[in-house]
Amino acid sequence: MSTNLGGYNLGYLDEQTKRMIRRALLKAVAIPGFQVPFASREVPMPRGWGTGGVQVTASIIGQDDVLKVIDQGADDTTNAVSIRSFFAAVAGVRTTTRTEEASIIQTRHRIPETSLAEGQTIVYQVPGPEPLRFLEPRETETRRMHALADYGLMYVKLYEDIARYGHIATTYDYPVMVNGRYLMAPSPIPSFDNPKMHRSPALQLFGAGREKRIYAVPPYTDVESLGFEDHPFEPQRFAQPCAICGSAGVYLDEVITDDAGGSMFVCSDTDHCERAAPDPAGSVLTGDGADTEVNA
Amino acid sequence: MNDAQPLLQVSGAGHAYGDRSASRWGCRDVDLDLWPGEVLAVVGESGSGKTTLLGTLSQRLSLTEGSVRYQLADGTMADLSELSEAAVRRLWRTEWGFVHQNPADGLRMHVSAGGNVGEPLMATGWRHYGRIRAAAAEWLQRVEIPVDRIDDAPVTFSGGMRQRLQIARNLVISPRLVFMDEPTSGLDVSVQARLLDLIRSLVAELGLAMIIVTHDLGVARLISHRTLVMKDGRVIESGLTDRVLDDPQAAYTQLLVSSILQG
Amino acid sequence: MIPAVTDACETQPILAVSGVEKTFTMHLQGGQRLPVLHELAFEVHAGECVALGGASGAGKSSVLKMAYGNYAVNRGSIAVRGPGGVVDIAAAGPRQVLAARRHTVGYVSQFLHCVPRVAALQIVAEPLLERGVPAAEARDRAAELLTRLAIPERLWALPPATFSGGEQQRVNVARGFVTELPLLLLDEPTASLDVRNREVVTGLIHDKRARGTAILGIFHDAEVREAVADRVVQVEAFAAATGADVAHAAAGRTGAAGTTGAAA
Repeated sequence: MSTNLGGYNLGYLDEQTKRMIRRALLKAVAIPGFQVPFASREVPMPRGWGTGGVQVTASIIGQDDVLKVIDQGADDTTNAVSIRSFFAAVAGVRTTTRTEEASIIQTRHRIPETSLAEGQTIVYQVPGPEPLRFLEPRETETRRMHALADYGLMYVKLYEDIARYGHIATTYDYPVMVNGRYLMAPSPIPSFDNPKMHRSPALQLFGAGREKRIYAVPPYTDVESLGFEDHPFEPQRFAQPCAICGSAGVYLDEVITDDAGGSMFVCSDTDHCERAAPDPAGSVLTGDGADTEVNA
Repeated sequence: MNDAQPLLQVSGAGHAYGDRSASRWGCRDVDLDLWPGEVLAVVGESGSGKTTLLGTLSQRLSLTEGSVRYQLADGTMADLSELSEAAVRRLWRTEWGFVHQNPADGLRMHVSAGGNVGEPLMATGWRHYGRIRAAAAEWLQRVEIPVDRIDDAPVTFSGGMRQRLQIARNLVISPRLVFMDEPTSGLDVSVQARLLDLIRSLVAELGLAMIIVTHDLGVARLISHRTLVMKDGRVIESGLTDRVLDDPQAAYTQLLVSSILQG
Repeated sequence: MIPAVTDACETQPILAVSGVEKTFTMHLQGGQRLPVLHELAFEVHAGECVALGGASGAGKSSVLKMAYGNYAVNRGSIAVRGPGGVVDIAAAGPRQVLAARRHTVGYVSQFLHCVPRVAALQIVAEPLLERGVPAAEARDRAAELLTRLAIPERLWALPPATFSGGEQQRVNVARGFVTELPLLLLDEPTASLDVRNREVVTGLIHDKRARGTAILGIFHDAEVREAVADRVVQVEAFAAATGADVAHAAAGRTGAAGTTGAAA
């Protein structure tokens, strides 16, 4: 057992814990979309800050991996930077902001615009793993519903939306059916990103630290967003392109630019925006995405 | 559908509260057969065991003694205690209904009326919003709830309306067997009459089999074909409803019948 | 469905009562037993109208109710011949009795049991609807009878609970007469009716007899009885030794004058 950073194991978690989490991951991969309970450990950040994602990453990361961490699509937010430098320190791995160069991508609430490839693993940070929780507060009942594939209640929620608003009002954490069997919460990614999950070549892992659940979608698995025959799932669309790089068909953030309430719509995926931008030198964003350790 | 066998065949059924050694029998030694299209009333006072019997038959309480057999859609008789939990849940989704005394126990109070009636359909695989909504609207009409309330939640409904919504929710999947637990108690008398009338016509129209627990003999007389009278957990008299109420043989039945308030 | 009438005496009876005993046990009065009928026996053939005679309290209504399965029978048999064969009402289980009521035995009670909120026309049409007659035809036949019984059309859509006693009784009669069953039991069908309507009911009974229906009835009015009955069976001839009073027995068991109401 090598020691980095004054007594901590490689990847911060001890080997037994990693095994426990890997066992949970194996079960999760074997039963796509099924929530596997696991003994969630303490890590150096509070619950609600990505501890599930961190534990999953810590259990699979090795010294040959290249890690990218994004938060709402951006590599340069405080949390993304903190987690990236944490793993750089405790795992001695290379880090990057370039999607196609990463072997592991830990993400909070977005899937990168750049398509993922075979051999990549994306780790989602999940606040609430149970898609039925807000309709059925009892854990005993939701477990039974999953066991018996009793999912009528989820459609009731969609029905209520259509009755009330004329359309399905869920725009993030949109429920999906995985491998035709389990109803899954994809984490609060925008519904815009849902189609990317379907038959992705990458391995998708989900960690909920506070709720102590792990689930997974193996590569090339069917992931279908719920809908009705006459009100099928419709991902969000944006009318305008990114104000910086001009990309269309990407997820945009609204950025307030002045105190008068002026705003602009820019790519949520910072890596994508940088590379598509017509004049990189004139880019609003900082960071050059070089494959060196980033100073916090 | 096998006409030679009843829909529900109960032999020596009993449920005991607590463990066998120091237990109290909620109901004991109950035999009954129920055929399609029949309404059976189980009457008795508080503590008679009628609600325990209903719970036992509907699988909400375990069967301590005896057997309960049900004729499945393919004609085979199944012993309910041998069915898996998944199979029993499937029966509840597709063939059985349960109308609770308090409608709040049988409804999702903050989901719209249309959503409440549509849920059993969605649970059995209906995936077309327009058709689900149309079916829900049709049933609201049948139970005389104004269709323009389809998007209102039952928290905004009166007691009688909630109960009618509960009935619609239970009948929308065309069940073969419906359990009713005192469906009219707590409602105003005029509302009760309306509700019973509705139940009566729906039973006739749909050919349902129904077991209804009530302490009100007038309810039994109005909608049931046969009546079971229970006291202290046992059946003390049973037969055609009008025979039991007009020519009661057992002492307790005579007492019950004579206690009806004369208008 | 109804056996053709050639000579009533040569065909099998539609109703055969034999060795019937009826005793009321009044548990509310210390278990006192009141035997009412002993070895009651008589027959009714197709096309015949038999009247039950005797003073009030002799047990006439009880005989009708036993024949309908509404009262229990202590001993003996009540054999009713219908399209499916012979059923012993005294020994039959509830389902068989319900089947007999559906196919063989009709009953016009002394009082109309009002199902709330159902229109008079619907009440009269219901027995036909239950037997699968198309709705339009059922309503036409109901309308015909109501017209004959002088119930004005404006009342047809109203529930009879608000009608006068005579009007209720006429709706009751219409409901009992609308189907074609082999055996019809009539309990004082003309009790609250005026002369004109008594004649109408008499005419209805004649029509039924002509069509081969067997009728067993209680007719308090001597004139009606003379007009419709082929013979009278004196119930008092079968009185049990103590000669108990049925009304008293009824009160002792149910606390009321025993109304009859059969569930639909």
